[in-house]
Amino acid sequence: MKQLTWANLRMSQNLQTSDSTAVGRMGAATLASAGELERKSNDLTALAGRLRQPGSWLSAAATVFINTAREQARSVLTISQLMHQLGQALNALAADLGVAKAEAMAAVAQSRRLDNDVSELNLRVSSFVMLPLGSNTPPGAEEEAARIANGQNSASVALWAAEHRAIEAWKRAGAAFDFVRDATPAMSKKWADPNWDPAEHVFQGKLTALSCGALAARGLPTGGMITGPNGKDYPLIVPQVLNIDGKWVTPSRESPATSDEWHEVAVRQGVTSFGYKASGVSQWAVALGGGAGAPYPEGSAFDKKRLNDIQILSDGGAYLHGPEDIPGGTVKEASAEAQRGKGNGVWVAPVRGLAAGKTSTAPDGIGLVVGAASGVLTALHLNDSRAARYRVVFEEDAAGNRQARMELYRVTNAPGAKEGVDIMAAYVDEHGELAGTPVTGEPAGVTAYAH
Amino acid sequence: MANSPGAFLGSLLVYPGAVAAAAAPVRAMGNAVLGSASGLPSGNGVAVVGEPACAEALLSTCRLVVEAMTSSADGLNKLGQALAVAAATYRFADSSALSGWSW
Repeated sequence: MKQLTWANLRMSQNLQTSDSTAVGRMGAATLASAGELERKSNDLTALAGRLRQPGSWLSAAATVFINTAREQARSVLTISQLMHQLGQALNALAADLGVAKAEAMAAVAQSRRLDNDVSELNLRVSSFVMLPLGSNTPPGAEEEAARIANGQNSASVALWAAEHRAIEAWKRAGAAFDFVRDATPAMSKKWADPNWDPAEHVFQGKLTALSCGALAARGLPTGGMITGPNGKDYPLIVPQVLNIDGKWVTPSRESPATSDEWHEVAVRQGVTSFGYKASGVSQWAVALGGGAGAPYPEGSAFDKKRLNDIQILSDGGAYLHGPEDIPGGTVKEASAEAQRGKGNGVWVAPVRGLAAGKTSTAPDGIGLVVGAASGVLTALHLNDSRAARYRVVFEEDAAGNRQARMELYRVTNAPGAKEGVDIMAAYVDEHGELAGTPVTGEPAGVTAYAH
Repeated sequence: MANSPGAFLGSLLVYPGAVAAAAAPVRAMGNAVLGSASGLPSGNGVAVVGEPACAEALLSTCRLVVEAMTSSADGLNKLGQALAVAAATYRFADSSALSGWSW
């Protein structure tokens, strides 16, 4: 019988050095701070209220002061909410790391005991006096070796599971930390950067699991990425929903299923200009032949002057605002065209957050969101025949995965048809430039969601 | 509060202390959080979090939260100082003393 080897199982350096107790202390201190800040904010608000009693006399300067004090109180409250989310994330991380490390230590301890058994068995085997014509293995050694091997396998699996638990915990915590980070005033300013241009921040990345059935089905490139104003890269996906009639459609409007796993980090709307220039006629033909959809009727034209009349709904739908238009009644399927361009953006406060579940209070913080509408840039785009409106939603899930969805809107005049809004889903073409593919329907009794 | 400048003065006199009290924990909490987080590694050091990318995310977040806290605390202190001046000068002028401050 051969000598057995030690398993010598060890937990990872990261898990070894983690200190769940210290992380838990940090979480508890952060939550306590959040509570204290909230109380102070309430105190300040109450004091401001006492200074503004109905019928009392106040100078104009005092009125300004009180308003400023209230704004400060709201700012403090927002910070307390951010700290509350941070504390919750730290506590969750501490709990997960504590369990993971305990499981890992138990697995390592079990493995060490088995390694000791290996040493004893090897000694028994090496000191066993082989009898003439007899076995060279001590009685019961084979069975003991099998028991040790099974035990080591179990310990390895247990250690792997513990390490995996820790890795997932770090990913979840990192995502939660990032979410809080993105809701701070400094990051809010970045999200509202008026110079951020979606067309200048798209590129073809490596194919990921998030990209993208709807595009693949149309024979379009699936590896599109967009770099958000926060500097992070997001796979640009085109969602599909399976309606109750059994048809998969690419909608402009979000369905309830889209929010179950993904949480909005930010939404930007703005004016962009994209689409082929006059010199790109041959590219246009290639794009149309490449499965992007049906062409516009002859004589169709985009009406750039009415871009500001497009009313974009919170769910991504749109209608054309005008005397003859009824909200929701003029959304029509987009015709085919691959389009490209540049733009500027307007910040729209996120309505959902990660740490607080589907509804987050933090990103809606007072004074943290800065509007970035730029009349000058909008005017420049409106001088471009490729002008369009856009809406882009940046999302993350609890594991820190990212994705973005983007719709493009233009007003189309087609011969014999009523003026309406064309809505396209944005993707990144094979040249790494922003392009659009038509939406093909709207959610109706959605039974499945995919991208 | 009664409907009179005198009663308004009474409020002004208690207000600076309250504002300062609100500012102090904001700044202290910020320093405490950053102080805790600064024990985390930015490179190859040892972190209580254990995983460098997660630790960096925490540290980065803490820095921005503290930045917000510091800004807020500064604003509150400014309010407190304005109130203190207004309260001190109220008998000789009126609360327009507040107008000398840029918010």
